[in-house]
Amino acid sequence: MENNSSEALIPDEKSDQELSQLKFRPRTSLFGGFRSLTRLMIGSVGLGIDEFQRRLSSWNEEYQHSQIQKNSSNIHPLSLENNDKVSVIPYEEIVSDKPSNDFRFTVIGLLFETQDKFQSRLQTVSRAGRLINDITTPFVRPFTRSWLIPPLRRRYDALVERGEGELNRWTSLGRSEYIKSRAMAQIAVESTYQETVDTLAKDPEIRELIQTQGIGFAEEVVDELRERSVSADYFLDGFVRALLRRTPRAELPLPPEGVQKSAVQVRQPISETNDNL
Amino acid sequence: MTISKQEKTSDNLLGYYAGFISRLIAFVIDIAIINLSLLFIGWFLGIFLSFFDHSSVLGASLENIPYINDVINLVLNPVFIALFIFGFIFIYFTFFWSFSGHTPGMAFMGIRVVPVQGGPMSLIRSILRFFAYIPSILSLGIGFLWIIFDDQRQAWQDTIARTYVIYTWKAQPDEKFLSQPIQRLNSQREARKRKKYRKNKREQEQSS
Repeated sequence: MENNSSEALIPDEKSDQELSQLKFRPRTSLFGGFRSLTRLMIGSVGLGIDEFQRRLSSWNEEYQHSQIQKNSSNIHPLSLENNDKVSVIPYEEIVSDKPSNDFRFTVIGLLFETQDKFQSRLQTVSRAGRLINDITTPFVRPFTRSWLIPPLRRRYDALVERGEGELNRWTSLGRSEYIKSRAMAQIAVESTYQETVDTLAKDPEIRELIQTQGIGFAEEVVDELRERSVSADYFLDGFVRALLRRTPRAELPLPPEGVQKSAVQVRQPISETNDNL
Repeated sequence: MTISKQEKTSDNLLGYYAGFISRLIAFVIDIAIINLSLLFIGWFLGIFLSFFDHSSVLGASLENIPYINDVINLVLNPVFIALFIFGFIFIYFTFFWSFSGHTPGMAFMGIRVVPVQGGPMSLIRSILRFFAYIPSILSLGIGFLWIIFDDQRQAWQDTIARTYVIYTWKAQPDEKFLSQPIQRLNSQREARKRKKYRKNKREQEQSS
């Protein structure tokens, strides 16, 4: 079962054939080890980033949902009491005018302001680049179309073509290796998880701990129920006697010795009993 | 064998008479167990009898089985069913009382039925106690409610069969549950005691 799932995660042979056409260097055992390690690292990073992005998206959705709730019920999302996932710290405490809070809010504000400014500056730079290109192109065109340029241009094109080919090869290699790395990391995570669960399940101390906790909890529940029933016995006795104006019971009468013994002794030998019936 | 100090101290009720609520909860648990058991038996019997609805069972024709219709009619007879349920309940209680002194419900609540002189319950006493339930039930439950009024917390069936029901654990009231009403009742009791004491003293003074 586990092998089948592992095989399903590994990319098919087609990508291997593609890779063999890309003329890689021969793999030595040491290189294979390094490659596996690299794959594991890249795959882990890829998986981690994917998971982080997924969670970020989920948190963002939750936040927006809480904002909608806030707008509909006039309650701040940070102080929502009916939502356990949201912080339970009171809103007033979060936004109080303490000096430490001021500094924190300043830094946070600066961070967001920098991010916004950087984005707007980047757009400006991009626009400026396009403008410079538009302005300079008419002036440069006579030089680029002169008879001196074509030989240089051919060499330049060949260089670019070679560079693009190399880049394409790297891209293919990266794509194929990324798929393998992810598969490998996933197998590593799953097998580690499975081994951890197996270890926990097989470890007698941990099993005993779980069992003891379960039994302890059940015992607590039973004890609680018994104690409450004894309280209820007391209360009912007193209540009914008060209701009927009977003499209140000072304390329970002491049972005979033999009866008390029977409370702690499960079974007595038949010869010792005084049962008359 | 005597109860050691560790087992029996002044602040717990080990060996004391069990109250109405504890016994009621134990009884409810027993009834639930009996109901579930009967439900299971009925379900099993239903499946078993459904085989006979078909013309043949495992290749053998129903007609070849002697007296099968009589058996089915007997099993489905309401009188037989009522007798079966009564018998089941009878066996349940008498077996557990005579075997260990407590039914599963009583074991859960930590109480046990014992003869007035102590020791284990005999089968005959268990049977007597079971049939002593009948007057308690016929009196619309007054026989059970008698536990509240009786000094030894005996129901009618206990009085008839000469048994007590006692705690088999170091019983003590819960610290929080119903603590305020109990304290109020205790204070009322103390007030009544003081009032009675003063009244007696005044009467003595007047007479003297």
